[in-house]
Amino acid sequence: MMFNLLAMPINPAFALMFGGLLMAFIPQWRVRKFIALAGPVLALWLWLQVDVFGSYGGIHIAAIGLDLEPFRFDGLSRIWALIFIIGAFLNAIYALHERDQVQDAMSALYGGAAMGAVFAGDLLSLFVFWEITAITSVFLIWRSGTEAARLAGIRYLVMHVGSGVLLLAGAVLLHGQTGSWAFEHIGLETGLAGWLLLLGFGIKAAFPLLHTWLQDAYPKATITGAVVLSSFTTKMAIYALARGFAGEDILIYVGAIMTAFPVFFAVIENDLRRVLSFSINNQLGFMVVGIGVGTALGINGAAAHAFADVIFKGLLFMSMGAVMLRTGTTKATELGGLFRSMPFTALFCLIGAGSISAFPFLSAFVTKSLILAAVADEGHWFVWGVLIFASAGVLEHAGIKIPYFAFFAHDSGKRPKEAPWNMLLAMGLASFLCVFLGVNYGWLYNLLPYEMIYEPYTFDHIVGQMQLLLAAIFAFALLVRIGWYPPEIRMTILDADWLWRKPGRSFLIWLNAILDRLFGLVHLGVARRAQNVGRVLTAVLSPHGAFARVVPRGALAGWTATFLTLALLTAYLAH
Amino acid sequence: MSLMSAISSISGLRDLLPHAAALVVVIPLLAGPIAVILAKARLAWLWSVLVAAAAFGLSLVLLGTVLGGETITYEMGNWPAPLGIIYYVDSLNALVISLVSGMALLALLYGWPMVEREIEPKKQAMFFGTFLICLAGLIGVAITGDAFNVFVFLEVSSISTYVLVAMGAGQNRQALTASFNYLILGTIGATFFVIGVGLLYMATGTLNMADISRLLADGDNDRVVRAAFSFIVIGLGLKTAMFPLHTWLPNAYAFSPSMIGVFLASTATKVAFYTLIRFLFSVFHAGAPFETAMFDYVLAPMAITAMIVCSVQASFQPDVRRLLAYSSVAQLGYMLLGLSMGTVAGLSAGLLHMFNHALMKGALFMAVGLATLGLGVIQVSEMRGMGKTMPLTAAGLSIAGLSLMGVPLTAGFVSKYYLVIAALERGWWWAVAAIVVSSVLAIFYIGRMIEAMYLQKPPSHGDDPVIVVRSPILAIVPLYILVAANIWFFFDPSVPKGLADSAATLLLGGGAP
Amino acid sequence: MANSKPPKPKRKPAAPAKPKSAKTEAAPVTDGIHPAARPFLWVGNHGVQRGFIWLVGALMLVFIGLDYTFNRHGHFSWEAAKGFYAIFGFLAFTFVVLMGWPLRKWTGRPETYYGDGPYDGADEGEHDV
Repeated sequence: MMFNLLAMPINPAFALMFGGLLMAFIPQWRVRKFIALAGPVLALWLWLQVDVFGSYGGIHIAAIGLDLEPFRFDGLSRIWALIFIIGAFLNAIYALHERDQVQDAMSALYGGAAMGAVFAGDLLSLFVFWEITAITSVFLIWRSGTEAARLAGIRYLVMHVGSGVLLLAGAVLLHGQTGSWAFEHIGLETGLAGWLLLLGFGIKAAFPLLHTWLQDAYPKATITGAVVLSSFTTKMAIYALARGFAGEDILIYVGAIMTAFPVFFAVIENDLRRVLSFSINNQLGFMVVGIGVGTALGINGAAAHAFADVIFKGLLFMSMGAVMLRTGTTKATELGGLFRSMPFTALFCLIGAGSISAFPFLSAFVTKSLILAAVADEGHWFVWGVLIFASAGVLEHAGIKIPYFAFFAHDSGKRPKEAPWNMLLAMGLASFLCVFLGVNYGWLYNLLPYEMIYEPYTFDHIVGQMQLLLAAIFAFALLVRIGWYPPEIRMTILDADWLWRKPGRSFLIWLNAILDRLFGLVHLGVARRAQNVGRVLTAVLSPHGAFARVVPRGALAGWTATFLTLALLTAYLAH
Repeated sequence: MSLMSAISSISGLRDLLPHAAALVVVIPLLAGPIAVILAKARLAWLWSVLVAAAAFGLSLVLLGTVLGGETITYEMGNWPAPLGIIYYVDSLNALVISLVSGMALLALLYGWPMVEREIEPKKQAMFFGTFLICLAGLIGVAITGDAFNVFVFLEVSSISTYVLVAMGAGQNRQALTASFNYLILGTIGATFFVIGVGLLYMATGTLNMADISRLLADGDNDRVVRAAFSFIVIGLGLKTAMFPLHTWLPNAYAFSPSMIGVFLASTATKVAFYTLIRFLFSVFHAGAPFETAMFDYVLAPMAITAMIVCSVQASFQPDVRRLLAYSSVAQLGYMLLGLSMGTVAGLSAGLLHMFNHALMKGALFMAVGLATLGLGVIQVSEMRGMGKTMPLTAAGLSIAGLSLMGVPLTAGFVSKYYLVIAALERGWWWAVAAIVVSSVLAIFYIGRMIEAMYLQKPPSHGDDPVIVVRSPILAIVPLYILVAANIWFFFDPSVPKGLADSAATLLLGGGAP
Repeated sequence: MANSKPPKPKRKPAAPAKPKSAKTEAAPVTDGIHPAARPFLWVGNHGVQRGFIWLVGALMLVFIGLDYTFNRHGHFSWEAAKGFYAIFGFLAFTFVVLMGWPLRKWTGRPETYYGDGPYDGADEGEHDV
């Protein structure tokens, strides 16, 4: 039995989750850090052991007569698992300086659960892992210890647990229709079930109007927490969409909106980690469009872009985390000129910024173009235009704004120390990967779920992209020069969550007060009337009838009598 | 499977104990007065524990026999059925009897430190005596096969319950009004019930439940039978705290002594629920048109309303025990929903949820009682930082709370799962929606507690919490037995599930729905 | 083209040598400058930052010029227009930035608007500034 077990592939997610559980009980930080690094390495080894696609280690739960399929290894789950492994490893290095047991344990559990969700072959396993990611990740927000973080964490948890509930509801409905729990292509033709699942996935993928948790919570997370958060949740949702809703036209438009709207908000946002949160939204939009197109090229594009995004977005969050660690803030108004004392962080940040902006020979150049080509192939000229527009927007907020306001711009006079060695190492590795993917794109393309023939480095592609980027940078320089660029100001920028954080909240408070009064009146009214009927009835029916009159709440007795009447009527009128 | 075979192996004892069915009622009934005579609180408590253990042992013998595939019919004083009173045990009530006696034992173990603190020393022996009588009454209701005898035991258990609730007056004078309200409504319920039984006697001329059932099978369109049916449903509905007849429950739970809160929450309404099922399915016939109408137009809508309205009410309660009490009414809605589906799957899910709910609510009330004992917690806001100050209690409370939400790896998930599946089979989409909505609300109100316990800082001096409470071990052990049961019955629900299935099949005439 | 990602090294030719030496001579006494950053301090020079626009402008013109050396085989006809990407990029970028003014007017509120309290300056990090 034991040998059989070893001969069979083991789910790499368990390596991370097991490590996370262990860390929860180990107070010695050195041991924890070792486990944090060993977990992803072990996971990678397990990942490499699987050489045949298939579903392994199905579990039959006798309790509810159910077959679970926790480890499905195929083209789609393979690449997502790999990027989660890489992400977990880089994050572990980045967090080496930290001594927080809760975050160590939760980061690993969270990453493992995200990977578990990716490997889940049935909707119930998916649901379980889905909820574990919600519950474990929220600690990364709470651990920053501020009141704002606590409240944002609660809002985050409500939306994410809600997303899981929608998922479960959809899964149950789907099971009602098909009799199967399998997580395959779902599509919207399944009606309500499909819509519920799409909505559940959509919350985590930060669809427009469902996105507010992201900008709300990520900037309030801890330094390492924000990096870890940026790696998993949203990418897991993209995976679920790719698996379940590939080729749904509506996703093309949803994705296009996602790429475009954050661009405007990011311009005026002062907190650079919040700018990066908007940028997550924008990048997710590209992936959602790719999934919506649904061709082999589109899905490949989404997968490749998710892969690159985990690295470059993580890198950008890492650099902002380093700034936060050393200066205590990431507000653009407080920063500037930091390259003087943090040159390596600045360099790595520039590489991340270049990658996300899709400069040639950096990672996004070879991944985003897949999506653009997929969109163009299908003739969606308008969406294609929106994506090009959004590409210029990415350059604005992630490519220029982040490094410019933190490291260059006017000198804030701050001379913080360079980031600790482990942060530099993590950023260095991530930067290396950005360049590596941009150059050795064939390696990444081979991992993609579908076969395709695509060559990113053509002359016209490079020229077109450079034109776009240089013209945009030129516009930036020009606008700054003539003073038309909106200066950074410390302020809160409202987003859709304003709807429920302000008027929604006031409405609830008002409703509560009104209902209180209303119920009071109704109760009195009903009570008075029922009391009369009740007195008669109870006096007749009950040997204790006399009691009813002295009871302060004789109304309750009347209520019972009313209900009895209803029951009698029902029984008499039934045929 | 291991649990099932373990219990089945006990059934061999039945040959040694041919009178187990009678003893399980008689022993606690006679032991009650003895406890009062013992006078010394500690002695009375020890005696009660012994008696409850004996009752639990006997009920396991019965359970083992039933698991072996037999049903037990015991004729009191050897008087044959239609004339004499018979005790009757099948898979349905074997589960209930074991639950009641098991919870009584745990509640007693848990109760000592609580009683010591909450009840006047003079009254403690009386308290335990009354408790035993109450236990005898509840087991009696579950075991008897005679309709009038049900009424008698119902009153035995209820009257002793009123007394027990009123004993909470030492902590809070409101216990008196709570008990009084409970008494009024409980009496009305009992009266309705006995009127129903009287009408049935009028129609059939017998009080033996099996007999009534046989006679009803012929002419069931009789107005008298219909009136009897309505009276019995409403009477038992009141005892079950069926929405909107639940108004007595929140205060009775909230102001009674902690130990009684635990015991009532996990048994009293369950026994009434059992009786309702017994009458609906094995006295009356599930196929009768008036019964179907009652299911569709009264019970199911009320169940749904309870699930949502009472969950909302629970979310707004500042008082922890009232919060749990409202949640109980909502959870009873789940059970009633399962029952009102009128299918084997639905009824079985309802029964399973009854069993699981007893486990989770018992644990929750135990933990809250400990919090009250240790920190004087009455309101949710006062639980802040309990994760630090009372780590064991807080952890137990959280796990039981997760079970109440229906999170996988806990028993609560299993029964909700079956309930959803049963609703889907029946085509009741709206019921599934209601289950989901109500579960979300449960996340909210349980989440409030978990948030207060783990995310808010305890009242502290400098960095250290002002107090760290060590709960009495005697109370922690039963709490953790229940918490463990909440997890155990996720992985191995074979015993309750098997019993619920066979009971549901039996009650609905063995056929598919 | 491989090193176009960080514009830093490329700025060198555009920057006159004078400000560099002036800055580095003043620098040795300045506290907190990372040794690795010393050779690059000219980047922070006001003149360099102002001159940056010419470098970018010139490069942009070069790439627009390259459009005339071949015919683009795009998916859409307008891609073939010379300088299409540059014009699109310039207009898109300008639009995004200028929209910032009205957007801020509509959605900007004081930092304490939600009453959650400030969230940066969390009790992490060393803030040794």
